[in-house]
Amino acid sequence: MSAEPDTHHQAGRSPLAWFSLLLLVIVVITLYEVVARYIFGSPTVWANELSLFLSAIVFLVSGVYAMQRDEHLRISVIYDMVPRPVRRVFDAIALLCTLVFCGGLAWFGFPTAWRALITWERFGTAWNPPIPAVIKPLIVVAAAAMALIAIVNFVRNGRRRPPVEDERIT
Amino acid sequence: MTIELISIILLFGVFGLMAVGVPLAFAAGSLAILVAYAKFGTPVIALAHKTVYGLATEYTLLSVPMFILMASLLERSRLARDLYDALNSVVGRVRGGIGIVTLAISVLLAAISGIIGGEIVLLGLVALPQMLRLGYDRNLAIGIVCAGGSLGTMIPPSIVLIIYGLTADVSVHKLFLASFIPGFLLAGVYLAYIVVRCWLNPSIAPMPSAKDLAEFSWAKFTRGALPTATLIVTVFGCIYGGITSITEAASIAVGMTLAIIALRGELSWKIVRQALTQTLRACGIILWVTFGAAVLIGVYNLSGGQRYVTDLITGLDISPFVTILVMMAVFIVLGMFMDWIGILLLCMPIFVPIVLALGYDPVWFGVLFSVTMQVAFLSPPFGPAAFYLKSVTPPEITLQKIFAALWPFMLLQLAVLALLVSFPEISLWLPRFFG
Amino acid sequence: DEAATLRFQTHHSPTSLQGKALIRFAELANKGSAGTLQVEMLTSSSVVKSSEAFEAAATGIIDGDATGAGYVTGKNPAFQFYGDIMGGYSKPDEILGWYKDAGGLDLANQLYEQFNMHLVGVFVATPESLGSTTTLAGIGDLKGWKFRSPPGMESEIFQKLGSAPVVMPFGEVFTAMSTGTVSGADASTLAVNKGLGLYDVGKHASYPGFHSMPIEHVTVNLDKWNALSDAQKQVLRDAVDTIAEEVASQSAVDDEKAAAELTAAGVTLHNWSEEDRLAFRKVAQEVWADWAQRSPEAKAAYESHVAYMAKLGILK
Ligand code: NA
Ligand code: NA
Repeated sequence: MSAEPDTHHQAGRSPLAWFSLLLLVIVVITLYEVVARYIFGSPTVWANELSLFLSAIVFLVSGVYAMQRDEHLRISVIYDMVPRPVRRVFDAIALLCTLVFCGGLAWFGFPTAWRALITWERFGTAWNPPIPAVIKPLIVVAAAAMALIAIVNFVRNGRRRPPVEDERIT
Repeated sequence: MTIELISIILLFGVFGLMAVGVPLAFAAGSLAILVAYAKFGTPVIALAHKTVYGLATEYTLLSVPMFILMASLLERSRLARDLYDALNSVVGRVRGGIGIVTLAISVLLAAISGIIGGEIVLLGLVALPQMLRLGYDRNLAIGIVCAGGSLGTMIPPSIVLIIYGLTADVSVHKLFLASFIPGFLLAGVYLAYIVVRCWLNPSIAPMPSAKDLAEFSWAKFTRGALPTATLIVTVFGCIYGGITSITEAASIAVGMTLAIIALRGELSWKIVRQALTQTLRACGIILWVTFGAAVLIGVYNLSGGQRYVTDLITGLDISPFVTILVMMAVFIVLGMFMDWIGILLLCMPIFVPIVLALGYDPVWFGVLFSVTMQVAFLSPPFGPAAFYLKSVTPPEITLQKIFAALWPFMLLQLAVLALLVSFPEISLWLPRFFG
Repeated sequence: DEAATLRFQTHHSPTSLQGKALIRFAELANKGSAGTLQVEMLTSSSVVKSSEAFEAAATGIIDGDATGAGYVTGKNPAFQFYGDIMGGYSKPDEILGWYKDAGGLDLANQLYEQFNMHLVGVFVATPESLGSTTTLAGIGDLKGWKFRSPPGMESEIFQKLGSAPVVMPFGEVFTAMSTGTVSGADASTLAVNKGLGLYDVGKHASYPGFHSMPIEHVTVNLDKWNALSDAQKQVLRDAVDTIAEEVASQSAVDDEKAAAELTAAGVTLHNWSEEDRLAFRKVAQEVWADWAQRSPEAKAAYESHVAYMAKLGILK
C-alpha cells in the first residue's frame, strides 16, 4: 500500500470511493454473525453469503478505482529511464494489453453475464442470494469501464507530462 | 500451437511486457486471451470472465481487504507511537535499547497486521529519527526498520500465506501455525545480530542521555501497551481459539481497531475515510493482479502446461531436494524484480503439484516461500521495504543508501531459509501438534 | 480423420479415488474408440473453479464437466435431486439403478440439455460418514449437535432435527472441533475422513453412513455430444459404467479397511438402526418435498425418485 497520505492525486474524490463503505458493512455483519453464533447460539444463514456478495462488489469496483487513478501494479524501472517519446510507445503497448484483457473480459463474458441476469441466477445455497445474477454482469461493466478509462488516461497522459511516481502496493 | 511454444510465448511475453511498464494484471491477462484465441478459438476467451467471477466470490479472499483496512487504521492512529514510548521506558537503558525496542514493536505489530508497508512507514517515522538522533549507526538503524517491518507477512496473520493457501489449496490455518516458529526464529536472529554488533562495537549504538529517557510509569506503560495487547489477543484468540474463521477474525479485528481508536479519542470521519480509500486502492491493485495471473494460469493449464512443466522438471534428473533448492533460487531471483503476489500467482500453480509429487508437505513449502519473500522485500532493484522507507525518510537518505544497509539482514534471512529447508520439522512441528 | 478432442475437468485430485477413476475413464474412452476420441481429464479444478466447470463446458471453454450436479443447484433447484438425495438411498447400486432402470438418465437429460449439456452417466462412492467428538448413536443424538455442514439441503434437514449446522471452511474444522466450537463435521466417506485426520479429533463416526451420498456426473457439451458418432457415444457411456462399478466396490473396500483400523484405534463406529434411518429419511422427505416446489423440473425428479424408492421398499 502507498506510504503517502492520498492528497497528491486529483482523482481522489471519485464517487467510486463510496463503495469502500461496504467494507464497514461487512465488519458489522460479521460482528453480528459471531454474536449470533456464540451468544444467541443460532448462526445466521445469510451473514457469510452477504459478506461475500458485498466483497465481490468491492473487488470489482476497486479495479475501476485503481484504473481511474492509473495505479495498477507495474514495474517502472526501465520506463523511468527512457525518453518521453519512447514512453509514449510503452504507454501504447500498455493500453493495447489493457484493451485486450478488459475488452475480452467484457465482450466474451457478456453472453454468460446476460444469461445470469435474465434468469436471475442464484448462488444455490440455503439463503440463495442472486450473487451470479449481479456479479457476473458487474464484471462486464467493470471491465468495460476499465477499458474506457485506460483510453482516457492514455490521451490525457499524452497532453501533459505525468508526474513520475514510484507507488506500489504490496 | 505446441505447449513448448505456448510456454515460451507466455514466459517471455510476461517479462517483456512487464519490462516496458505494462501493469502485471494486463500483461498476464492479455497474453492469456491471445493464447486462448490462437490455440482454442473464441469460446475459450470467456474463461477470463469465469476466472474473475470464481475469484471474486472466494470467501477467503475477503480477509485481504480487512487486513489492509486494519493496518491503514492503525497507521493513522498514534497507537504505535505510544507503544514505542512504553517499551522505550523499559528497555531504553540497555545498550542498543532503541534498536531492540524497534524490533520488538515490529514483531508485535506483525502479530496483528498481515501486510507489509504500514509498519515500515510507522517505524520510519517514529523510530528511525530517534536512532539517528542518538547517533546510531545509520545502516544498522535502517536495516532494523526494513527487516523488522517486513515481518508483517512472516509472523501470522499474513496475506502472503492467505493467498498461498488459496492458490495451493492448503489450509491457511495450518500455514499460520507453521510460520509461527520460523517467524519468531527470524526475529530472534535479528535480535541476536543487533545485540552482538552493539556488544562488539558499542560506538554504533550510543546510550541515550538521562533527559531522553522517560521516567517509567505504569499508567503510561499500560496506555501504550494495552491496545496492542488487546488486538493481538483478539486476532490470535479468534483464529487459534477456533472461535471464528480467519476471514471473520480479520473483520472482527477491524471492528476492534475502530473501537480502540474511538476509546483513545482519535476516531474521526477523516481517518476512517482515508483508511477506506487507501484500502480500496490496495484492493484494486492486489486483486486485479490476482485475476490477471489466474486467467493466465487457467489458459496455460488448459493447454496442458501443468503436465508439461512437471514432466520437464521431473525429467531434469535432479534429486527432489535439489528441485526444492532450484525453486527457492527462482523465488529469490524473481524477487529482485517482481512483487510477491506476481511470483506467487505465476509460480505456485506449477510448483505446488511438483512439490506434492515429490512427497513434500505444501505447508512447509509455503513457509519457505514466505521467507524468500522476506528476502525479496529487501533485495534491489525492486525492494518494496526500501521503497516504503524512502517515502518517509529525509532526502539525504537515498534509495541507494537504504539498499546498501540491507545486505546483512538478507544474509540472516538466507541463513534462516537454509535452516528451514534443512529441518522441515521447525515449521511442521506446531501444525502437527495442534492438528 | 482427426480424433475428436474432449477436455474434461474434475475437482478431484489425481491421487483421490474419484480422480484416479476419472483418469481411467479417459484412458478407457481413448482405447475403446480406437483413437477416434482424444479424452483429456484435467484434475484439481486447474482451469476453472469447481462451481464454474459446468457452465464452462456448456459454453465451450472446456468440453466436459466431471464434478456433480450439487455445484449448480443455483441454476435450477432440480439439480439437487441429481446431486445428492440427502438421507435417501443408502447403496450406490440403488442410485445407479434409478438412472438406468427407472428412466432417471432421460429425465436428467431433459434438465441438463436445457443448459446445453448432456449427461453421459454417473458414479457414486459409499455413503458419507460424519465425524463427532460426541456420541452419534441414533437420531436423538442429533438434537443440539453443532457441526460444520455445507450450506443447502443438508443444513435444512439437520436443522429440522434440532442440530445446529455451522457454515465454515473445512480447513478450520479441526481446531474448531478440538476447542469445542463445534462438535462435528461432515466431509466425505469414512476412508477419506480418516485420511483427512477427522477421527484424530472426533472419536465418533456414523458408519455405514445414512445422510449423504453425493452423485458424481460425467457431462459433455451438447453440441460436442451431438457431433459424436453413435459408436463414440457408446464408448463414453461404457467407460462411465466401468468406473461406476469400480468406484462403488473400491470405496466399500477402502471403508471396510478404514473401519477396522479406526475401531482398533478406539474410534466408535455408530451403525444406525433401521428405525432411526427411516425416521431420518422421513424428515429428509419433507425437505425434498419443499425443494420439489421450487421448479417444475425439481418436481418431476422428486416424484420419480419417491416412486422408485417406494418400489425398492426403502420408503414406507
Ligand atoms: Na503478520
Ligand atoms: Na526485491
